[in-house]
Amino acid sequence: MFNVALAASLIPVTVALDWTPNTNHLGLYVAKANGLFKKHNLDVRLVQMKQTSTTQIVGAGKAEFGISFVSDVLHARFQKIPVMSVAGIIPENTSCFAWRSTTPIASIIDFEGKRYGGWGSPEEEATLRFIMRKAGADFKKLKMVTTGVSDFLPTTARNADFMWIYMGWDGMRARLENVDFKTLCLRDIDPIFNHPSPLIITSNKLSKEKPELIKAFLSAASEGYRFAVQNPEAAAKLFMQQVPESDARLVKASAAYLAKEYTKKIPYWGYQDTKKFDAYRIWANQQKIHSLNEDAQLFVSNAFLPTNPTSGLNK
Amino acid sequence: MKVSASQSPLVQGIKRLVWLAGVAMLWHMITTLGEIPTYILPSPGAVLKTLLEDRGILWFHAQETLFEWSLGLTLSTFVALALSWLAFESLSFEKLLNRTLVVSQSIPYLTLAPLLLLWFGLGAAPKIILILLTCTFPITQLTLNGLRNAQLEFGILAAVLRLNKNKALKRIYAPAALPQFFEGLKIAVTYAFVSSVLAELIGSEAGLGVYLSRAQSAYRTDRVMAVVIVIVFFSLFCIWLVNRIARKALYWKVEKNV
Repeated sequence: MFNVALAASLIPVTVALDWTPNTNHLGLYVAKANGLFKKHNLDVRLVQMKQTSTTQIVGAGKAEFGISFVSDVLHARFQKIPVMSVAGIIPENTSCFAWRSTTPIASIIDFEGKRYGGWGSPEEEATLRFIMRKAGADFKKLKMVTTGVSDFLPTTARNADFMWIYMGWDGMRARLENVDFKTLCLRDIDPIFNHPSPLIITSNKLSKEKPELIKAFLSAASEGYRFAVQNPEAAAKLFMQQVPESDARLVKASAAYLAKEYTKKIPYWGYQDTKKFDAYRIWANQQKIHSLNEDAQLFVSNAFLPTNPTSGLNK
Repeated sequence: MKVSASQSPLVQGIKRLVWLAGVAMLWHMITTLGEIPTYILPSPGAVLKTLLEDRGILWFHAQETLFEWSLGLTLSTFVALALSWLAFESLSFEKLLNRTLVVSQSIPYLTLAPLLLLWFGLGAAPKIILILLTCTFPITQLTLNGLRNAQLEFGILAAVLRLNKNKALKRIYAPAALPQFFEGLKIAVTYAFVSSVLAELIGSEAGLGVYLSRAQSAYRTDRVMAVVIVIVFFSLFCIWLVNRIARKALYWKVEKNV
């Protein structure tokens, strides 16, 4: 906007978010509010995105970092967009299929004859086809309705029977509205789907030219996320100060939920298990989503992450 | 164009208020009688409350949108005037321009906006370019139309007065085309605002589009409605402003003593 970086010595850094600001980005907002980026000489701008592919923006060098997803990164790599993943924000996949309790679904078999409301990506169709076949259900009897990136509560009120939601956001929202709903979470359906999500990505160019910048950025981000793990309520407040257009109750509930997820079963925040990326990539190949045959080692790196979580821990 | 001055401002104001109150009443009745959850449609009272509570945040975002709007609109006006002048002077340029403008108007902007972001970064530049693309067209088209009509109507007069082409344009055609120019501007002021909000929805750090999308993602339908109200009122204000300026500038066209 009109404001210019106050101190000339700070390095301007742009982060293209994947969506509007939400608790997936909590650690970044904490790092901004608590001056953790400044401590590393960075002036960080968090820019929200809708519709535009963050991977393209980052690949084109219009933003140093971006928030993305395994499926997006695989598509990008297949299209020769030079991006790589440098941190997993949440080590597991916290997305779930969800429906209102009034909808008669007990298991995947019951997806037959129902309406699925989605945003029309090839992954959704492939995932549903795969899990329904595995459960012995007829995928052809599922109605795929494109509802766009719309919200769970309004959409399931009329236009669809079940959707693919984020437990930590739409799930928390439904709870706050006292709407009874049931879920079937991707990580419980098949380990193939249980990969880190979302991811922090950067361009290959930056990784070669400015590895120190990436390390500095991730060091501050790591501190921010660890703060969010230990003080979810305080983190939610810091977030709301910067994103007052959001909903304080939802952010608080979501922060509490995600505090248990950010560092679940991993040695340090951001760590990515490359085997999980490969498993999903091979699955996507089999589903004919794309035929990327690059090893995940080539575009997933933990090398820029601080491995010692106690240094500079903000209590 | 005739600028109407037949109704007194007071009568007009009262009529508008009654209309507004009617809409609000109907809306209120729908939300209360229909027992509609707030995340589907909040009551007008709730929206008004949100509007007041969020006035500071809304103002913060409106500044960014207004900045893009004013810069984009100013640039569009200058470009449009330059283009219509060039097209008026040269028929071959007019043909070329017509084709280009038609092409520029047939691009779906929802598809173009993400590309503009990719090409011009995440700052104000892609928003201003989008405004230029949407707003240059109506102003150019209508101004040029006005100039051509004036030439048809007053061409003989200019010849009789032995004015050269430049003088005829300056003293006769341009003033005669002013009403059409203002019609174009009226379309452009609202287009420009909507374009900048649209571009902000797709990728931005601040702006009313940012407020709108954040409210949507947090299921805050009251805030969505609040910002829609701000946008509508701003558009109405802009049209009122252009009308007023037009009335001052076109004093010879205003019917007097009615």
